[in-house]
Amino acid sequence: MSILIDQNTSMLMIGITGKQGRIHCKRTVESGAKLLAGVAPGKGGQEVEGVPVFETVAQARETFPQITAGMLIVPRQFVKDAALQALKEGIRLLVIITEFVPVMDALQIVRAANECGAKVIGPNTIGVISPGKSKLGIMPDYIYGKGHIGIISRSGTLTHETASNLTFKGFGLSTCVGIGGDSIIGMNHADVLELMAADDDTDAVVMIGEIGGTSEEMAAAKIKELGLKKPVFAYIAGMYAPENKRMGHAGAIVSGGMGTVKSKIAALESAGVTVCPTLGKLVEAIDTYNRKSNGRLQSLEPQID
Amino acid sequence: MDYLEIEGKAQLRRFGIPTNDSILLDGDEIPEGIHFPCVLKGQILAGHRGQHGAVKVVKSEEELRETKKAIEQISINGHVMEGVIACNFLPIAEEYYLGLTLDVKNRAMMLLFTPFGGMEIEDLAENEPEKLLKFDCTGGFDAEAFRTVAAKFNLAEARMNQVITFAEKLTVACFELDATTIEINPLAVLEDGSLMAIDSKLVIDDNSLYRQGDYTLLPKTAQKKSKQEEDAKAHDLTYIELDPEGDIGTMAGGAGIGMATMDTIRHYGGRVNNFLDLGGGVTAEKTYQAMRILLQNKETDYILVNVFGGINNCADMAEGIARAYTELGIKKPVIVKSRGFNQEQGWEIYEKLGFAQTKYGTTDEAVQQLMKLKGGGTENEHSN
Repeated sequence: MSILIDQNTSMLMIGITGKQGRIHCKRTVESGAKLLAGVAPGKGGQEVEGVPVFETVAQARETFPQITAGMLIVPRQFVKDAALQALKEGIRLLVIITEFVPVMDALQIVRAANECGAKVIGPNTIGVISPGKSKLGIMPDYIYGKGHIGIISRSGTLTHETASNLTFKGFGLSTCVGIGGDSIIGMNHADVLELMAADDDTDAVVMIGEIGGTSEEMAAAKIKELGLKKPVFAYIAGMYAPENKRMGHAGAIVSGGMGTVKSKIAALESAGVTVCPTLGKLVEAIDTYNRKSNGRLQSLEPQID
Repeated sequence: MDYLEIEGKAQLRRFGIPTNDSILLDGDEIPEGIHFPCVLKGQILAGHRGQHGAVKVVKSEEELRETKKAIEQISINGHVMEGVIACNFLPIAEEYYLGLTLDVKNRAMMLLFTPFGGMEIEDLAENEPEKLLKFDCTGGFDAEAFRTVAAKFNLAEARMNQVITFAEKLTVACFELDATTIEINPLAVLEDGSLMAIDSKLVIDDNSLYRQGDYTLLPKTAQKKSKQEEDAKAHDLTYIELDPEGDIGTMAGGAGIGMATMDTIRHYGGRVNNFLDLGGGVTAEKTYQAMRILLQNKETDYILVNVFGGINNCADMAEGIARAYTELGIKKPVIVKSRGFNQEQGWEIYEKLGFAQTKYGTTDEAVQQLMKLKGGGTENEHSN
């Protein structure tokens, strides 16, 4: 078992005929993931890397009713309409890769997903990978080894960094989720953590956070609420970032003083999380834990099931 | 993007929200339409203007001239005064607070209202949260629902209707403008019973600027940028100056890894001169420019490159870096950590240049390699 996606996940790509769409269609097909269809208005009937292109999500699902997962990689001005259509036409796990999506659009997408019980990941994300099983995203899969550590990260490059550090040091990963770097995103750290808590394949969780927002503080509260027994290791980027100048009173009120590296570290430590000062130290902490607990965090032979 | 009071008010009026007149005091001439006493208000992209003496009542032309000059000298939190406006002195009976702001925690657009205005709203939220109403407007403004939850303030029915009309218009403005904050503090109740916005704060989501107009009325004093920052901006790169005495220049492919690189160098006792983020969609030309800027920066002696081929491509990035290094003839020790798509091709290019590399190691290992090269530097456990 793994969370969100596995070897049976059938998926489509919205925006498959664009420049980035074509590149990542090729890489997805090469990874062995079941990318069955593409969607691009006006391009129905074409093929990209042998993947058939449809006008709409509904048409793609008529031919492939087993598809309920999708990756969206269209220019930002089209993201809202494309995402709302995908949710309406039966996509239940939607990864939005596109960056710089207007906040108001993201709010509407997240709200629509909540109303129909769908999961949205992103915007501004690298997506999800369950190494050796499947990927619904744009990550280079060969730096993601297979195993039993879950990663949840706001930053795409730091997901790559952490995954490759662990993989190159002989550890393996169950599922890695880039939740997205924007202020309004679908699933947050806590939502993914809840899934990993219940996942047999995940024995330990790595949480990568950064300054701003409240996702890390909410995850700390979730750990306490769940009484999570699995070890959680965290790193918060931006300890030495220059302070942002902020203007609106209202924003400061709603966030209630949360959002600094200090507040995040304090919240996570109070929930029993091992917070590391660098990502190198995080690998060392996992190594120490694994030796002590005789755990199964080492890499499994990477292979596509 | 942040707007000044006078710019925000102009937008509020577009949506039928009444505001007081604001007359810009430009030059030494006193414009027509000013009656004494009047209120002078400094226009600045910072809060707490009153506390800093940037809001003053003046009673004569002479006093106006002196006060205007004094206000123009005020700076708040590194922001400078962009101009001074004069507003009519109004007979105010009561002050309310009304605003909408993005609530990241609840993934919502939240309307905030209190009839207990005229004080620091943060203090009210902290000390008497029951007096501040938070109302979810993500799906639009629901007047009847608002009426129910605002009933606790015991406003007269006519007054409640006025507030509702105001809030409805402000919600429309918020969505139409892609505002992440739109705030009226205070919302004045005048002695004749009418409501009027006598201040405004407007912040528009940067990701939406492509579909919004430019609402600038006053040319902003550009925040002083360094030569490198200007240079980087011209090539669509993010460059932030950090420690002016730092001798290490950094190049990273993404904000997350850029911050982590900076944190790690600090952790091992190094001093970081700058943060250069290539962003996504990187071409050889872009890394050429980035490398050129880092090499030409006389303040730095070392360069650390920390990039990934995810949405980017390692070979393209290496090509640009190599071109800058060979063309410019400026030699500085360079340490590279580059992995992801086409990593082997990238590694080969760096090897030919004689750069030190961490192929499979962590950022910590790359930084330790750099510190060793610098001769010294031990782990700074104080930064834990």
